[in-house]
Amino acid sequence: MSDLVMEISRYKANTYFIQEYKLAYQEMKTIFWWLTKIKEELDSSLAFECSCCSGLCGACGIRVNGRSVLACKTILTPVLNYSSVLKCKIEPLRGLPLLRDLMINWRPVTERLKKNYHWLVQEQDSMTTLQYSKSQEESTHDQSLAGCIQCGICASECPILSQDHFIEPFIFAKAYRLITDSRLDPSNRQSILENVQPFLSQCIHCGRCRDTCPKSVSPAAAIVSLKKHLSNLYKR
Amino acid sequence: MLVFDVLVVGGGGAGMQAAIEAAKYSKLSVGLISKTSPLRSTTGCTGGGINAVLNPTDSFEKHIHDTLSGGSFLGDHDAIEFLAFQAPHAIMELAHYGTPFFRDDNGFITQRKGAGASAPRCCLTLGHAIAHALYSQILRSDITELSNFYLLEIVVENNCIQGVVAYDSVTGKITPITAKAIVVATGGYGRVYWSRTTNPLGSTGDGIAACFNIGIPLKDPEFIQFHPTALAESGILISEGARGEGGYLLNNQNKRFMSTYAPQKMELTTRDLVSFAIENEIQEGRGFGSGITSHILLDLRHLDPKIFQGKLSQVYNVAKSFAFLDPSKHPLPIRPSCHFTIGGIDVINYQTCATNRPGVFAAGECACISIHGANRLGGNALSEAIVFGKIAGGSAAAFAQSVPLPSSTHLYDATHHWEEQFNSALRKSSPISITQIRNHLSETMYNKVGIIRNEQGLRQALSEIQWLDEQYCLTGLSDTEPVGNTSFIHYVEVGNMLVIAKALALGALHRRETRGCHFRSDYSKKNDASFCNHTIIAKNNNRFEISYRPITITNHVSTGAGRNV
Repeated sequence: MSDLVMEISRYKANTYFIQEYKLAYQEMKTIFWWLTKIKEELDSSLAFECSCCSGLCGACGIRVNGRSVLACKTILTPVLNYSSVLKCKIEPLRGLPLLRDLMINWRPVTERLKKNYHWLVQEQDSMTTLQYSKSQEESTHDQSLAGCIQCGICASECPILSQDHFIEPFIFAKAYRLITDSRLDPSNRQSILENVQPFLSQCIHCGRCRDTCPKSVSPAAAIVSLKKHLSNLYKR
Repeated sequence: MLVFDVLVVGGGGAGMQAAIEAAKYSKLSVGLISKTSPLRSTTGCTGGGINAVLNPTDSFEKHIHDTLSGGSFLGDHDAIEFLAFQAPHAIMELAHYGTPFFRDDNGFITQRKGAGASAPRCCLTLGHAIAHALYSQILRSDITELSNFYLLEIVVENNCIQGVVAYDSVTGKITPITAKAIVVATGGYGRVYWSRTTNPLGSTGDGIAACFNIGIPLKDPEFIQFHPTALAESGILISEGARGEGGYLLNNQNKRFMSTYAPQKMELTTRDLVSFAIENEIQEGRGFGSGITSHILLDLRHLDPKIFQGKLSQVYNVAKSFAFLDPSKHPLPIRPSCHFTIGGIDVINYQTCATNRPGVFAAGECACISIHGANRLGGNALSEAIVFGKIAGGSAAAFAQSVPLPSSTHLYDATHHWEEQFNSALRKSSPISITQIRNHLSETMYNKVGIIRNEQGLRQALSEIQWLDEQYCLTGLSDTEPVGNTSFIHYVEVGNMLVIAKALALGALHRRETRGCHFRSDYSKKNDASFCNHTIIAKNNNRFEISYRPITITNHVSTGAGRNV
């Protein structure tokens, strides 16, 4: 059986380093399986996050050989390097604050969402009406955008987010879902559109958020639609 | 120091509901701590839907009766009635918060008739959509939401709560938090079966153990719902649909063994009987493999392959992604896995979610209110979390308004005690690792306190748990870094699971009958004369004391049909 060398980027006490772990390679094992093996058998100090282990919750976003994926549902396919050793490189997601090793610190992201994007939330406090129906078409449309699990993979892959003042691509998908909700009143719709407006023009439409989303949500398409809605708003 | 009027521990459906409700009270500060982000909670991983009486062919009476009979009449009638009445409002509220429910041709919420339900009642949506909708309410309200905050201890002195001690893995500090009232909503304890559960990694019963340690009893811990078809290696769920659409269960003699257990209904009989049959086949040597991943096969090869693009597309995807098998070409290795833990923190008043400690409230899977009795009906878990989370948040807020800020003397002592425990764990050189203890525990639990139980096995399990407990005290940590120390968290989790496992095995040993999901091969009949009671296990001077409390019975009344929104 051939050896596998896993190069894992570590971060603790404000220090970054790369650590190599050597393991006997096995076919058809997920990244989560390998990380667990390292933690339980070689080095208990390796920190990473995982919750549902079945691709539903979005806790385990990670980069494998440069690609952002969910660790629990991605089979490790190592690359063969020149000295004919199987290798793979594991790094944390980009564009999001790091807590330790491969763990993201979501607290600042939450604070930012809370501070800047409170307009994303539907203002619907009164529950006066019992009739609260929605068409099947609208529900299908909702479902396609509501698939977002906020795993951060689109943020990690976005080339603009890493260098500029931009917002995580998943926020566009959330905004688009809200403005297309038939129950939203027009003033809130306008306020949401005005809030995303400054960011819309920065998107370079590379489509990486769409192509890498593990839930097939397309922030890229949401951006195009948001632009259309915005221009319609000004036409009126 | 962090100070809150109301502190909610746990960020799943119940915890978020509690925080949202408490924040509606003016002038109250509300904190929500959770060990992972609320978006990664068990609520976010569910797929079944949520029960409420909305359909004109349904009625409150049917919901109450189905829940009671599904739970082998061990649930408390008054609490179940309350749930049935409140559930439709909970659905409305979730819809208002932006939860995308599937809709029918008329724009009404699509409802499915679940197993054991006498009418369409299960509102279809995805769990993560509920979690995200609640989370957006957390963002817009004035709640201090702190994820990566791990509960270590609830601090009480003279029957008066002072707050909690928690590990903040972002700062790396063990931190005291003062609180006037606490809502515990930390989820179930399915991970006592470690790899044989469909629950997320965090379902280790932390809040239950913390409550137990301050004298709040555990109610009905022996009732564990198993799902018959989970992947053998990972415990990931293969939905009921696979059998519903005609899948076969095969043993190592290539025989559809359900013919022995349920000749009429075969694979379509109840979950409990299918789980029992699979385990019995494995125990009698007709399974495949060995150890905890022993299994039988779920064969779908005879089905029309088109079904894997349609009704069974989810089954196909799970099989491909997690067992790496194409179900149209290969049978799937399957073994039952723990799906839901029915027992939990003894809630003594369903109208407030209060426990026996003033100021400590509990809701969600960690609490036993008791709705599910001896077995849970599909779709009732989310209803329970959403309805009672709100109740617990409201009562905690009302309680907080009525009491002054507690002293924090004992809180600091407890914090120092945990700091010492962390440091002393670092100094120990372990003869046995935390992973080994956990795996040994989960195998013992699955094999002896799992689906088929008997006196001898349960006694063996108790002595093994005792031995593991002794080993646990000798075990240390090798990760010295304070920030993001997931090893320390797991160390405490395993300690909590040892406490709960002992109570679970004790409850199972003393319940000498078969009821709901509790199957005793040596007492195979229901015994209403002795056991139509809740098991209550309490800790008293480090001893586990067991007692029984009668269930609450009312004469529930018919209250009319559902009304679709």
